[in-house]
Amino acid sequence: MKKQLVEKDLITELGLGDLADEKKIELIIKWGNIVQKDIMMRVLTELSESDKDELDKLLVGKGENFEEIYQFLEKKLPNLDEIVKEEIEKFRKEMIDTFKSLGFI
Amino acid sequence: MPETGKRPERAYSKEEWFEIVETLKEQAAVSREKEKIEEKEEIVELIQDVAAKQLGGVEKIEPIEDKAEKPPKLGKAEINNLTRLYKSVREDRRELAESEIEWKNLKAKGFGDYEKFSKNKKTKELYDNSRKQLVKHLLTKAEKRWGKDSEKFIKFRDELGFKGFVGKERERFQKAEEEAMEPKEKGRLRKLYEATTKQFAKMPKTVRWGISAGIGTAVALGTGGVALPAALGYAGFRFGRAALGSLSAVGIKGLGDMAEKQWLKKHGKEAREKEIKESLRKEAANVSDLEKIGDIVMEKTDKRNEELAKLAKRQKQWRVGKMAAMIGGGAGVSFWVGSMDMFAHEPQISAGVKDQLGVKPGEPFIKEPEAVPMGPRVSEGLIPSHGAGNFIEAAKPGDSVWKLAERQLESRGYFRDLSGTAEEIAAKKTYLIDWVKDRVAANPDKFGLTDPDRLAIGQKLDFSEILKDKEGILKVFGEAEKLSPAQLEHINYNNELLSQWVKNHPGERLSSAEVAEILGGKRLEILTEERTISWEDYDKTVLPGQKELDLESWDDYTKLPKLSEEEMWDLRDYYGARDNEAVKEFLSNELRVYNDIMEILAPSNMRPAEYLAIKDVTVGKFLEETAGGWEKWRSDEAITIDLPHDGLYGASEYGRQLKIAEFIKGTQPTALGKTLTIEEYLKKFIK
Repeated sequence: MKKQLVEKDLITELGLGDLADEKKIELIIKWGNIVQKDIMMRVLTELSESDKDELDKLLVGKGENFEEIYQFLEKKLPNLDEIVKEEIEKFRKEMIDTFKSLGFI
Repeated sequence: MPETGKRPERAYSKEEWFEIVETLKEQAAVSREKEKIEEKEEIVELIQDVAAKQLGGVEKIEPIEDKAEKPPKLGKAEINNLTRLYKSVREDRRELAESEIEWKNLKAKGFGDYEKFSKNKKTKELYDNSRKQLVKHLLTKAEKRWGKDSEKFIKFRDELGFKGFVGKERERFQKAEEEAMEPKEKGRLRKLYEATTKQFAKMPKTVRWGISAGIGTAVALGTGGVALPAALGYAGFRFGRAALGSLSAVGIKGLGDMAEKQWLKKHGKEAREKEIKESLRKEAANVSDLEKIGDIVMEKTDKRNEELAKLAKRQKQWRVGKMAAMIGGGAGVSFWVGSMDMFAHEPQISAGVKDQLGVKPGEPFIKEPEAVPMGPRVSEGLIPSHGAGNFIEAAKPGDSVWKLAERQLESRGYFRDLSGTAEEIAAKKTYLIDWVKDRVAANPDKFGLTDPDRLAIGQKLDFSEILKDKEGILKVFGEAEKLSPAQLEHINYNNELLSQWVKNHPGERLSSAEVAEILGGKRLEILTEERTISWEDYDKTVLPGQKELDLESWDDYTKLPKLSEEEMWDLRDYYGARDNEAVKEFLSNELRVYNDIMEILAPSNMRPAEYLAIKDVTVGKFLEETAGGWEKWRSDEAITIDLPHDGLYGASEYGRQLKIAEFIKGTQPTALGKTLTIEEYLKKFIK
């Protein structure tokens, strides 16, 4: 199964296997940053208004208390891991669909 | 040729500034909106980056010389075509982003059924369609020009997919979504993102890199069968450096190999093999955390399986040993390492990994790290001759305690075995010399000094007490070797500041108090040598109009070759030019503006290429990014400074950017002025 995962990596699946290593690294980092933000947007839509008010108070710390923020989110969204997985898979699907639809693959 | 030599400093009176700023306000109010500027930038970027470089030739305008190498210009008709197509993409993207946010809000309230949300479906179709049209257009032109199976076409298609539709376009869509969010929600998102960024900023570069790659690696490899442990920035922590190892699974040899090549170049293959074996032998007993495994994964593939197996054998009492054996089994498994928190005190392990390793519920996964003595790689053998030789240095003209300490350490071979690049070794040397100097400064009497900043010529300093302190020496060497990349960078940065001071104050003595002031940012001085712009500077610079006209040299610039009627037709609209003379006039005007701006910037010593790097940044963003001044540069937050630059971003260039920022701030830009690019803003100050 792991072998399959490796073989079906997104870069190869999008037909970008010939890109230079630096470009691949650039892509991976870019994807990471995009999905990171996607996850954050999703988290915000999943929280209730009262939870968001609570989050606002934690965000006043401007990142010094990230552990606390993370623990809060984990408490309010027990499915946080699922959200991460869903957003990652959603992004992968979207990339493949886009590439297919635009005729790149 | 542009004028070389000293450029006069232009000084404006306060009244003139006010007048200029007022004019600027009026002009900006009627002519600029942020949205339009962004749109223009995006279109220009597309045309220049994708079409002009790769496609070109749509109007069959042949290059003047060397047809095979030079990309031809785009005709006006083609530019209009691209602009129209791209505008559609942009508008449809915005529509869909707005619709997506609307749908997400409805979904949160329990009304969300994506399939039935017809507006969303329709906007998605439009967006897909406009992207298709643009791609089709570009690919058709490229195919016509190069042929479907040509290398150039394939490269162009890959670039288009890579640049336009996998990365940038998706980023733009995300940005459009952010724009569509309610202001309060947008603020939350920004703060949450900042919180993650701030968390990242506290970490060493290598770790930050690993974190960035963390989720990206999950995206590349997929999440099937792997239990992802966490979300947000925290997920990055948990992937950590193991992500670097996973890159091999997507065909990237990665940073490990790059580091390997550098090492091999310096020391040779045999020494490398010996080093691997020796270091593993020594360190096997000290492996106490999974980060070490991440390091080992980075080793060359042909070495790592063998060494990991040995490590696993030695570490069989720990789970980490089993993990090492698993990693040895294949690159894909290294992703499993990513399922653990490398940095948490109490690692959280996914159930799948625990099962594989046979960890029972409640049983600790990993042994608590043992205290590692300072400088684990520094053995006594590496520190030369503690007890022998001459420990006395006599002061020569221009000497200081620092210089004497450096001479003493150098002559005794203390620097010989320092590891790293030339820059890293220089920083480590500084660290060691500083330690010796501080010991002298702490007790000057002991060394026969009343003032450590003042040495008489011929005065002798005996370093024996310091250098015979075996424990102290081992400790400071250990510390020097363990300095993080950020710390090493910081030391070299401080050295640069001090060198600048010395250069600006020939013949003056640099006292400890002055050093403290300079490094504390109270007396920061940037080089003020007379500014000259040489032709070499211009050579490295893309001049106005150069890209559009395929001009390679200054000669091309000043003696425009005769243009064909067809080319002139294009240029007539593009530059408003009637004939060659009119084009020259246009370009000469462009150059005058450019040179005048460089003149305004002359007191900052900014070089042309540095200016061109930032000229398209908006004034608002520029002031925001430079607001933290030197304090920010010296802090861990330095990595968050988001400004384009020329080549490596060093303190000198940042210093020059700060000077420009000070200048702009002095002109008190209005809210509208801040939406202009630096170039647009500075143009207003040209008489």
